[in-house]
Amino acid sequence: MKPENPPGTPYKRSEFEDGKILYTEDSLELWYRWSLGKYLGRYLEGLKEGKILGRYCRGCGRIYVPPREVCQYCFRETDEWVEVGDTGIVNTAVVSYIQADRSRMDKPLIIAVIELEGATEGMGILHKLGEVDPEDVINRKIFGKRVKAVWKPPEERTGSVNDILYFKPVEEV
Amino acid sequence: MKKEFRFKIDVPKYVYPVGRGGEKFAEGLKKEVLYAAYCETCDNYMMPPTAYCPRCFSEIKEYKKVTHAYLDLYTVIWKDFNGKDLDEPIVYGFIRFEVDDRDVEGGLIHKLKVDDPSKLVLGVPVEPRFKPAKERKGVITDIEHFELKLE
Amino acid sequence: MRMNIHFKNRVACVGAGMTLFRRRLFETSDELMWLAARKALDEAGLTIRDIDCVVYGTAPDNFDGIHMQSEALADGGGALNKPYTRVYVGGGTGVFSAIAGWWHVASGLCRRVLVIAEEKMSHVQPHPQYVFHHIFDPVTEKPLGVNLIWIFALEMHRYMYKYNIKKEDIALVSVKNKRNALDHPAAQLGMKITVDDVLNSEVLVWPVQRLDISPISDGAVALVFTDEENAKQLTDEPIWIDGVGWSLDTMYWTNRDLAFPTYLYYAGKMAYKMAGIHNPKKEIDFAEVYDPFDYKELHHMEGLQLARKGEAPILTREGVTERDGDLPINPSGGLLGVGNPIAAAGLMKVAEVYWQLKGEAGRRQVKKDVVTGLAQAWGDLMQVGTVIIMRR
Repeated sequence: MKPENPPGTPYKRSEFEDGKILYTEDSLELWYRWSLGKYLGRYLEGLKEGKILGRYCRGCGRIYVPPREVCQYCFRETDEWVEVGDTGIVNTAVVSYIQADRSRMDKPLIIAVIELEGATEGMGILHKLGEVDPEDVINRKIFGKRVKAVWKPPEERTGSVNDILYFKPVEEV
Repeated sequence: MKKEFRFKIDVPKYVYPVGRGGEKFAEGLKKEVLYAAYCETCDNYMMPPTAYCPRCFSEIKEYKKVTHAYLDLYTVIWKDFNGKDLDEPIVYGFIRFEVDDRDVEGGLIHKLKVDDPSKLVLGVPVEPRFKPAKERKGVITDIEHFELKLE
Repeated sequence: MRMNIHFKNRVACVGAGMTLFRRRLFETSDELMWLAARKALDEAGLTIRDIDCVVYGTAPDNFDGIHMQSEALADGGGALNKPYTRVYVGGGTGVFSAIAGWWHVASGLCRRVLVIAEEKMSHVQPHPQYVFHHIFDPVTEKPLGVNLIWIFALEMHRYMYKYNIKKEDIALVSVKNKRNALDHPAAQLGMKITVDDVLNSEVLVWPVQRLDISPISDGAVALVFTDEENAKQLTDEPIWIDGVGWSLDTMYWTNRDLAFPTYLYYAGKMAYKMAGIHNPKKEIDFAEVYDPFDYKELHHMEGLQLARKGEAPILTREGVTERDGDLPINPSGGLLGVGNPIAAAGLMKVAEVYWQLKGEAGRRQVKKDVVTGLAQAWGDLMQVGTVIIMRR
């Protein structure tokens, strides 16, 4: 039966911690100064002003969020800035009990893809949901509901996606 | 308008198990001996010792003690990583080896302890100075540095 | 079943080999490559000196922790003084390295190619998942404290919402694959579990639970591809590569439809066209589809047109995808059972298709007679689909 006698020497974490495995170690820390360019720079500035900005392509009529220089379908430069408003529909949502480094959190976090209403249909962004019961995520009742951004007070905004604290459900209009 | 966004890419710690070749090398370091790998098929010696021959892909079954070490190349470093002057220059050398009369392919890069770098001559015999036995871990830094061999 | 594009040489796979897949392996990265390559060469009846080109696939350098990883590990691939290429499309690398191996031979440039895929994820402390944190957009996503599992959970939940799929049906995939892996000699997590075990396992990011996910692994796989003349000299039964396809979608994954893998639909179409396949569900005898999460097996089956949209869970529930079913899916045990060293996992699937077509899969051999098999991988920010079709 193939594969026959696959080679390899497995070891357990306990053997490693007991010093039975010979190793060398190192760490990595690289700092970057990422060029924002015209479009993301303006996007962040817009967030500081309490606005969500998108870019409109005259060729196909799409409104892109986050805004970008090139329309991905027409392959030409986008044409205009558009303010898309801060409401959206919940496309999908999940309840996270773990953080970026895989450690557990005390209070779960609700993450969602929110289709912004002022942009092209299906144009979602990743953000948090607040004032939502995790049960409504688990039973998917929150899917398709309208949500609106809850912003930090103007003096606390720094020009970051975290200038929006989270999106919260609002009544259907 | 902000032109830049600062962020980091980091990994707190990497561990690199030394593998089969490294284990053999470690065995030698414990005994204050440097092993070279010997490939029977290619009749070739290699340093650092690997578990396999990269040319014919056979498994290395023999490891031989090196009998002679000499300085092949060296460089003198005057500044640190950030461009600041060092108090004392550091010398790094590329050390090549022989097993009996045969050349060993490859070699080791290591620190060289020398009083006057300007008097260094390429080809001069060198020998490893090992750390005390209880400080040795089985890795390249078990060798404190190489120094000129006094005849 | 004629091929639909013109190229210089027909390409055959004549040997495959792999190391164990385990959470931690002691061998260094290049030693793993050598071990897998030796196995493949021995099976093919060739030596490294017979190989004229080497293709190496591995995912981010950040896992093994060696910058310019391919150059550093060239020795392990036997690539000294040979044309040597590294390819990388995230998790899709496994199948993509086979595709790259294919075009080396099909173009006439090389006659005998060694394809190796390798990954060591055990080097990263405390947990390799942190490396994945760095694949996200640094401006619009990373500041939210993104964890990789979020994106899969979001996709899984959308898929469940759109077709009204229950977790119980998705869990059946994990149960099937881990059970299949009990018969795989290199498998990391072959085990007998039940749907309840999956539903009671630790919730990481609802709806993703611990037993829905494939493990972290170290491992390497190698294959040998040759042209027709060499293949006929080396073996009575070469396995032909009849179709390849690959396609990449936007990195703005939140702008896409998450319920259907469009990139895979296009990659599949490309491979089907080349292989002369018009009705995948009928003409593909079995498939190894990429299953880092149990719901992905279903998602990918639909993307490859092996099931209609929303139909994959029904086929699973009815046992169609078991080894003795009409369309066996992941008879190897997949990533869920065998392991997930990012790049090597995809090539493991190609090796499995090869062994199944040769009838050498032992206890894993699917019941029906098989002529056409498909292996598929997926990667990056849920972007790339890579497909390879092989025939006896």
